[in-house]
Amino acid sequence: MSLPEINTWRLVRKQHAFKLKSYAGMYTSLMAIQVIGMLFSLGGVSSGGVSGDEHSIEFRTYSSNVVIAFTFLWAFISSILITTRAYRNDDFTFVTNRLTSNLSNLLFLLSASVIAGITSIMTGNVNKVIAYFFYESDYIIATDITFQGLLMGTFVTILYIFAFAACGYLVGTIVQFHKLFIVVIPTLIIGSMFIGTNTHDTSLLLVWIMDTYGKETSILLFVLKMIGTVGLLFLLSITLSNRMEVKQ
Amino acid sequence: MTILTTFLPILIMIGLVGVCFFVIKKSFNFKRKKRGFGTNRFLVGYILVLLIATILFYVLPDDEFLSVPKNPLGWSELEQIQNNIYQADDQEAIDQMEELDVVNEWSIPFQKDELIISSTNNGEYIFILAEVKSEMDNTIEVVHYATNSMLLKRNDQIAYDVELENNTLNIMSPNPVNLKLQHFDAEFTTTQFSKTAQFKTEYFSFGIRGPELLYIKVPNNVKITGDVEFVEK
Repeated sequence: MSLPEINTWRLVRKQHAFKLKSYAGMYTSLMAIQVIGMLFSLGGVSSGGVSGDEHSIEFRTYSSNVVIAFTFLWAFISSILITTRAYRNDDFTFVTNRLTSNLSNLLFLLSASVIAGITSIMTGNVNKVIAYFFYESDYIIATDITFQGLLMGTFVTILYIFAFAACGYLVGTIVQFHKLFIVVIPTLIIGSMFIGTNTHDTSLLLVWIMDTYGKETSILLFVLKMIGTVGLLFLLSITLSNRMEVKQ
Repeated sequence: MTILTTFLPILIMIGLVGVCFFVIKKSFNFKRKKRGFGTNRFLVGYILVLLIATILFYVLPDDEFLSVPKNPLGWSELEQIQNNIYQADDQEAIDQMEELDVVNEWSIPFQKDELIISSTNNGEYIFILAEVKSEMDNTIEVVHYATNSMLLKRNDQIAYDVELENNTLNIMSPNPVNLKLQHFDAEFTTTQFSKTAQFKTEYFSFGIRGPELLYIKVPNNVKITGDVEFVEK
């Protein structure tokens, strides 16, 4: 008599496929969050005016920036939620260990980030079409974007969303250790927003994040930084979760 | 008040995060139930709306849109153009300025020997430069130059008009305009790596047309009076 040999990658793929089908709430919440973002952007993501004696110019800017920001938040919160006990226990319907569970979560979050990235870029078109057909304007000024630029933008959005998901996954994993972290982590995050505000206008943490990722102009360096950051965050999450009790 | 202004954005952000957390957690409860036909229909409907909007957006006629200039002129560039206009020696120097476009030209028959230039100013400032021609061709030539901005060629309502009444050349300013602009911007994740021109309100720091001038050429037998600068020949 011989026992069937379990292949780790086959198991990870199976769990990933299961999660893609069964975590329906993730897609519903994505849709809900993006609709909220679109509603916030209906009147334009920014507006302003310039006026002189001979002219007054009022302008409104339409893009999916607000929806993208909301999607970051969605990725962060959703990743925390899939680390909760109810979701972790789902993995025990398969032959599993912490590694396969974490790897399938990583793949699932990557798939969800791809969907979220593509849809969030597309939402900008909804607001632009609504503005075009329903809002009165004398001129429409469009920022020219090539197809290649659009593809790169979508890819970059996916990377950002995945990075937020990785952050949320780490936070969720830490919280599983002790419920006290539910209070400690938000306090640390909010507290860090104030560090440096007395000497600079913005928090030092935000400045560092913006300088490292937001102001990077080389796509290659940006991708490397993102892969490094996401890799490190997931590695920490996997290492921490390996130290947990079974079904903790 | 200061404490309130410091904390208000953070409080709004926390509130927003709270609302998002609530919405996401509520939606996650779908997982516990079997995904119903209704949920599927919502998702399919949502994807369809996004697809239709995307297709519609890309089939909108291109000529409806103005492009942000590749090399937009900021405040310092506009100021430099203004200085170059002031320092221009003659019309040839003006014509050589790449940033300036000819908006309109007039050729007006004129038989008298004195010309009064009168400007009905609506508040804006236009530099008026006059040159006495070497010949006596009984014609006044007027050229309106303005900085080539993105709005210039499309907006007829903001053009100057020139009219001769006896021996007075009336320069009539356009009526004040109120423009509503929509700016369809690219996402910050797209503009971070592609060198696309960004729309800035700086374009309008010198008005809608940027620095501009009226160049008037009169026959050599005509004496000019009025608020006008002269080209020395």
